[in-house]
Amino acid sequence: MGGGHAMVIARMKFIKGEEVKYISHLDLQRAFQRALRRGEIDIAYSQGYNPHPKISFAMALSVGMTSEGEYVDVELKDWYDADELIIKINSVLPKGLQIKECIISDEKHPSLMSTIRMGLYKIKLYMQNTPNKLEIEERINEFLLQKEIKVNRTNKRGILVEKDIRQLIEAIIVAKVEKNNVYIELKIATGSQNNVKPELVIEKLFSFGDIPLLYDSLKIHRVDLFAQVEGELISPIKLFNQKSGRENM
Amino acid sequence: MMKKLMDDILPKVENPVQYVGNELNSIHKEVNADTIRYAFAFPDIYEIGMSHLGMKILYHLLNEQRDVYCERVFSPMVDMEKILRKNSIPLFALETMDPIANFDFVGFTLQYEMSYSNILNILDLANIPILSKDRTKDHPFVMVGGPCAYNPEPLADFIDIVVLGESEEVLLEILESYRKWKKSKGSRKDFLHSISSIEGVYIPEFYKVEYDNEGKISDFYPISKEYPNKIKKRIIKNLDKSYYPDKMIVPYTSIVHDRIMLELFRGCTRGCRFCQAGMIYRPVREKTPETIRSIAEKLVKSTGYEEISLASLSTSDYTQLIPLVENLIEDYKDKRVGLSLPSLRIDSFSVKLAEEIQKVRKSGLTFAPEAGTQRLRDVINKGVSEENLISSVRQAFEAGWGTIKLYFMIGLPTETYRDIEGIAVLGKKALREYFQVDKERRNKNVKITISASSFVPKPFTPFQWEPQDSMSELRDKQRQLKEYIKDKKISYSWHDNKTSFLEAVFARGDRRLGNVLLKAWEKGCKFDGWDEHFLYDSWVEAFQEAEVDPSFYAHRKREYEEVFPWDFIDIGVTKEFLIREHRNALKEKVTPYCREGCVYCGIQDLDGGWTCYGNC
Repeated sequence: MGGGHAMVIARMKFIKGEEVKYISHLDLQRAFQRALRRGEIDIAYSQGYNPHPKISFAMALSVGMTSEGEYVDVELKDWYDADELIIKINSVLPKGLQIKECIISDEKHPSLMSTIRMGLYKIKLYMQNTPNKLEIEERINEFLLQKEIKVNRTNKRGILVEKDIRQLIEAIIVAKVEKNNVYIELKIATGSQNNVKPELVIEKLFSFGDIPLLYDSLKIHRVDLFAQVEGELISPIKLFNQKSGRENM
Repeated sequence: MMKKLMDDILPKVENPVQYVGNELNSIHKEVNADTIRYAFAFPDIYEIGMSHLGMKILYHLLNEQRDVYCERVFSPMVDMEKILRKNSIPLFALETMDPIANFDFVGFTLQYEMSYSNILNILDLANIPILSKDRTKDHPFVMVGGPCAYNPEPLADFIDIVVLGESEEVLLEILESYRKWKKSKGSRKDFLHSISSIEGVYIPEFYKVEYDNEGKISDFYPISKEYPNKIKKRIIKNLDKSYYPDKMIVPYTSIVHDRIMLELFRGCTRGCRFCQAGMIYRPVREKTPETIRSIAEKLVKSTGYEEISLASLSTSDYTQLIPLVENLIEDYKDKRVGLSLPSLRIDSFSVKLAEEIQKVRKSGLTFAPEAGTQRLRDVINKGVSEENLISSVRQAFEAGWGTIKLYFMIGLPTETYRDIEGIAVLGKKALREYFQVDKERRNKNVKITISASSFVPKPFTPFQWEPQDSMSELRDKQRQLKEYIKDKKISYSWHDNKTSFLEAVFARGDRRLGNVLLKAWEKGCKFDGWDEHFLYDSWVEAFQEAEVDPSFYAHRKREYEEVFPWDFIDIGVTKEFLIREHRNALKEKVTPYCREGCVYCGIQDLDGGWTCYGNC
């Protein structure tokens, strides 16, 4: 039982599917809290007058996007078997949310949010005109040859500032062109240190140069999120496992 | 269609999740040739409609029927409506995203008059003929129920079926007739005919109204002897045995009332003379604490909600409130499920209770004295004294609350400027209490909020004969009250008097308003309850074009002899009682609560005899 124990944290990787792609980050937090209550999983709460459940997510996903690489840390009041916890939570999660991996540790770790460095995205665009793969690849090359890529954004204080996003783009690849659809893979800085939104990169890329390429719609899917150890990208689950030194997987 | 909506339409609209009906505990069923498809329509947006308890009950009740599939439909927000119309996408039900025009029934719940234009808009968006007479066998039957159905006449041109009273049983009876009718291959009229003898069912097209040269009703009669002269409301006699869902839909997006709602009782013992709910929902029927706790257990398990609300018209009046609250707190404190008690009475018992359950003084405490002076509170039969109020406020400040909300009405019958001033005086006295509480003990911030709505006379109340104040009178009173309130720690909010005026017109309206409503909707009126969408000038034009004088409905004092558009409905409470109460009001004479002694409102004769408290 709880008393005297260090905190037990379950780090979970989960899917946010089509069924729930329009729910906001706040909606997602609520959905998890309620699922954990339905599953009667004993989670820890903060102290104080207005206690809240100790659940923290890696990185908010924009409304409309799907993902197979979302992460959440849940602080538990008890030690659970990781596989049992997956089964238990999956039986109470709403359709479209599903835990894929879980690892449990009572070691001290940096917060999940602070470890995320990179995100991998798959994007499907529906072009207004029939696209040409080579043409787009050439465009990407020229786009990435730029020393800087300036974007305007409003900061937290509501002031318009200029920001260079070139260094935040690791790779852009055209995976496939099929009829009017273009499939792109994007590897970009994601996290609390450096962050760029995938839709912004796409917008910049396709409006780049003299002739913008017009698209009617785009669907963004997050493939995974990564932490970084000594220059190497590593899954937040593996990172947790390394540090805790336990074999819970 | 589903894919087009999901991928092309929804990314372009505000809060798209409100149009995706796959929330936890939503029902997804196979549809086949025998399925009776029912669209439960709430004529407002999702976050409001999803907060409605009646929908939660009926949705699951209907879906428990093997061959019935009930889905939900709400008013799309303005941006969504534009896209739907532009792309010619007919309005769809949330669960299957199928057009509701192909359903068997579309059932609207009538919660407030200001939603009527949204009903027309929903029908139009769905490609269902707006006028009942234009519908054919290819169209759904349009049905209404809910509190405003107690005067359905302004909607008579647009609806096929009205259900009066609590509909858990009557809906199933209607569906049973529908199954038979479907096999019989009869006409639309045949079906309406077959259900017209079910108690609680009113078919507007089977009745005729005639008016005299002053515009008052001279006759109201069924077109055939087969149809009843009076329509009796339905009630559920034993709430412990009646259906209550063991699951409720848990929306992803936050809604107005985002919690488990447990119904304590129906009806109200209080008898406030302005209150329609207090009359139409009689008699009082309580659920036992055992039933309520057992429902609570199932609902917490199936929803995972963090809060339970005990719903009723006057929660403090539940006879076993204390043991129930204690048990619920004990049952759920480890699961961190909180409790909330809306509709509390103004007394020390209630404040103590609020103190007990609301450990965090996050929201303010709300009291509803309704009127500013004792004289006027006696007129409306609101049994609250100034001492009650002031000592309750004092107690709340001592318990650490800083925000107190006081609800009033202006424009009540017999009101004078002394009563208006009384509202401001009460506000000041409440504030004074704060400063008398020890500095160490009291909340650091204090705010008194005075909210004054405008009185709207409603059918089936002792004030149904009373005129509403004119808009200029209401405006003058609002201004005057604003001048009386000087203190910066007291804030004042009021309702738009144009909306209240229109509400008064439709609340006591007749069939001639149908044409006005149609014209107003054609001019773009919708979401009339929302300030930012309300087009008053268009309404004025609609009245002019239809040659209907709205003042006739809102501002006219009626005689006891006048035939009202809603007189064909029998709510159990008699007109004699309402007249008696009206006279008592004018004499400033208080009528005791039911529990203190039966006042013979008529409900004791319901269905061959009903006993409320054993003293009737």
